[in-house]
Amino acid sequence: MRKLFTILALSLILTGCASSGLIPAGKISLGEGHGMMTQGSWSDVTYAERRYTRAVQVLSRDGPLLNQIILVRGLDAGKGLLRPADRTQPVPIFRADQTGREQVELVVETLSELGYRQVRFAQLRPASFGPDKAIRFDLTARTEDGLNLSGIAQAARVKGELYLVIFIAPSEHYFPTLKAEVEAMMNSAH
Amino acid sequence: MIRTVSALALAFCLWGSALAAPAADTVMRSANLRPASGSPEAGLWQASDEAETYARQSADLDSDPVLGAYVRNLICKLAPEYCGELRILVMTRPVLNATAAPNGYVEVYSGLMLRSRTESELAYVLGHEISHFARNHALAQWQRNKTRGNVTLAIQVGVSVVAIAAMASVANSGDFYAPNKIDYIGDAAQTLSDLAYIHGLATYFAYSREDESEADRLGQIRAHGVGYDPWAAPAIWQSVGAEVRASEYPEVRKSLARATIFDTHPLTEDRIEALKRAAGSTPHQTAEESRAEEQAYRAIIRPHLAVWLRDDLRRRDLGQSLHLISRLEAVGEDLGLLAYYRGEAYRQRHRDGDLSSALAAYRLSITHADAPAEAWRELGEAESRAGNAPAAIRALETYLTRAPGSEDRWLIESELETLKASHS
Repeated sequence: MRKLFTILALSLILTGCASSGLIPAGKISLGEGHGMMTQGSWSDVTYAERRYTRAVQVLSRDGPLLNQIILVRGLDAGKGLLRPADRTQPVPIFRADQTGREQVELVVETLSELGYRQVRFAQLRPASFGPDKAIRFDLTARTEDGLNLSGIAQAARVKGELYLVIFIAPSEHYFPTLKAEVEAMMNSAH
Repeated sequence: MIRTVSALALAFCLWGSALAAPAADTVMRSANLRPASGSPEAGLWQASDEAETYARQSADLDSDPVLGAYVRNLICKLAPEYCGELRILVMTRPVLNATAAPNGYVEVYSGLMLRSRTESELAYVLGHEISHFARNHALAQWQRNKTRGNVTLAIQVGVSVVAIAAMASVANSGDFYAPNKIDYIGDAAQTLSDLAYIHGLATYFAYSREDESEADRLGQIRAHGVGYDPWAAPAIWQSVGAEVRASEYPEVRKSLARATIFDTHPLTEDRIEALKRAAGSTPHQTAEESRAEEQAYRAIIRPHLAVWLRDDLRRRDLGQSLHLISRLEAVGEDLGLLAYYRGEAYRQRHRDGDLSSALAAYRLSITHADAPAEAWRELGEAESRAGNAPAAIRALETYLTRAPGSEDRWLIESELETLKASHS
């Protein structure tokens, strides 16, 4: 029982670190010197997944189960989007020498680690992140209980740091509703 | 005549071995058993029904009718008396596991099928699970654990009370972010409550050591009784033990058990020895018989091999994956595919020396007819990293030829342009 109190107390302390709140339409930071424009308002739901590392911010319009944008704001080499649960369960990490395809693989593996099933990428295509080159690709996945999901993601490596924008939502209604808005956001990323 | 001699030889072997039929006082459950509605046991059947409904919706459910029919036929061969009531679901999960719930729904994990060297090994494990089912071990364990269930409930109530107090405190603090913090506390309390529930659930399914030993013995008898090699029973546990010892992580190596919350099958040397003693004087398969059985089983799982290996790498215990690949390679088939995944394991592990090991594996893979197109892509990337631009260009061009509709075509073409520009 003492352990339970300790964990709850720790949770309360950690609550202070959790980012939260409404993000109005306009410019949103993607890390030092980088940003992108949002057309509508979003909620910061980063706190919904405790394993995210500091470089990650998660936005949602209707709740993380219905749509979410995972922003990775300058991930250093050797770090992942997630913290490992323990020493025997390492997480996918970004390496300085990763190829473009391995960056795509990092997105797929991280989503799998988050519990998504049958995560697949498709249609890799060129994109830009300000003056730098980026890779954009489509995603499909399923939730553990079988809901079909669709997504779009963009990866860019700038000065040795990784910048990701990953949008994922149920294929029915939620993905097509926000697809164009999210693509416009990705197009504005720099 | 040959058949008669074989039958006589088999009868002699069975007579001489310790694999006698179960004792007369070993009572098996009757077919289509279902406790009366409202009885205390009915709750266990209801929980199993709910688990089955969830499993049928799961994204992990394998939809290949051929594989499903194969496993179903195998189970019906092992347990004809329950064939009509057992409902088999093959789940794509990279862990060695199978379960038979009291209501008759059976889950067979792809990780078990990938690790079985022969149908005899798979039959023994399924026979073990059917024996739990036939002997109603889950029901007995459930009755033993009623007290533990009450403790779980008490913990869940305690967590809720503490969480409500914490939420009230935050609500009265006037903090701007109070609603979010309250959500967060509620979430944390739910997680703790779920953990207590999951632990309780795990306890329900954690059979006693006696139940495990009995299921070992009865599973081996059941499989041998329909013609499977009884030496397969100790063999699969020995190979699982060897895989655990190959783990990247000292904690896993020390455990000598699969790292699952349910952890119901502790691998102890005495269990393996008991299975060997039970196999007794039954002769081992000849090398030819063993090879024929390995090849026949490989033909069954071959269509799924690539997906199952990719899933296994996702566990990120690459020492175990490399050991598993070596074991699969020992059959002498699918060598191009297996070498490719060996290369993938080295590439993902990324330790000193792993790049050259990956390169060697990809180079070996493409010498076999069954090498996947991706082997050329990864060979090209590895050659590029090793500074061998001409070899990288050749491999990447071959990849594009072999996989003209690949989803990453643009990226590979872009890499080729860069490589050619830097090489010219």
